[in-house]
Amino acid sequence: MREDVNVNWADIGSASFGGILIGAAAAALLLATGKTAGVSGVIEGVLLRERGEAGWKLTFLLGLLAGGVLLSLFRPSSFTTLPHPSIGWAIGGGLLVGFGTRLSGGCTSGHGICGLGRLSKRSFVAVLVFMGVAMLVRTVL
Amino acid sequence: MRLPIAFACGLVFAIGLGFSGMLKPEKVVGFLEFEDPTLLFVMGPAVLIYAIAAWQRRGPERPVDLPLVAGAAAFGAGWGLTGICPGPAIVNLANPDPFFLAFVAAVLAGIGARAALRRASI
Repeated sequence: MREDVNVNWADIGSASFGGILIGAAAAALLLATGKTAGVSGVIEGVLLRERGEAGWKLTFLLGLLAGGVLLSLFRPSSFTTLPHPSIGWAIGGGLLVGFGTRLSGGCTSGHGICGLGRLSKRSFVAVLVFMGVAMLVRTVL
Repeated sequence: MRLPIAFACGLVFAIGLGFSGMLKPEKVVGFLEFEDPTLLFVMGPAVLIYAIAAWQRRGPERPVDLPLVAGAAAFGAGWGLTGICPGPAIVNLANPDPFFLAFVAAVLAGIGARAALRRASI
């Protein structure tokens, strides 16, 4: 921890509430449909029009977007107000995120929440690797 | 019934991301730079609740292999460069913003590239 670390406990309370909602949504999807709320796999299913899967995956994505619209109406502080880096970062980062998540079979939701919650050894390794590499990238940048 | 359930779960998932702070790339970057522990307080309850629901649903698992590790490393690099992962990227599309649009377009291209490689059985 650096000296400029300033933990805001109100933020942490609302973050934990957010975590509860995320966990509850993923748990409800599992219990009601047997499906895993992994967003990279959901996007892939829609993109590749997976037989029997693309329907629920598309409605899940529409739910994410609808949630985003509600947030921008009623809780606009959920979104960043900082300027973005140049668009090249979005393209390079997005390519790595899209390719990497499907090669490893999950992202922060699929491996990080559902996989860890399932006590999956593969997800445990994936989370250690993607967090470790991301931290390394931040120290190099 | 499956479609409305999926819609509702996606909606609640997005609201949760909003409260978590993780729609903001700077919050993720703060965590990755060891300045802001908030992400742990998001993942903790989320994993715990999911673990209760997934109790006794563990099936046989493939072993850890190279695609898993290499893919996670590539994802980690992109996540570290931008502070954005797929869920927050989609939710951020609710606001018109060329940066997130470009990110999601690139994610689609990356997913397509992986699928093309798989079809070529690489």
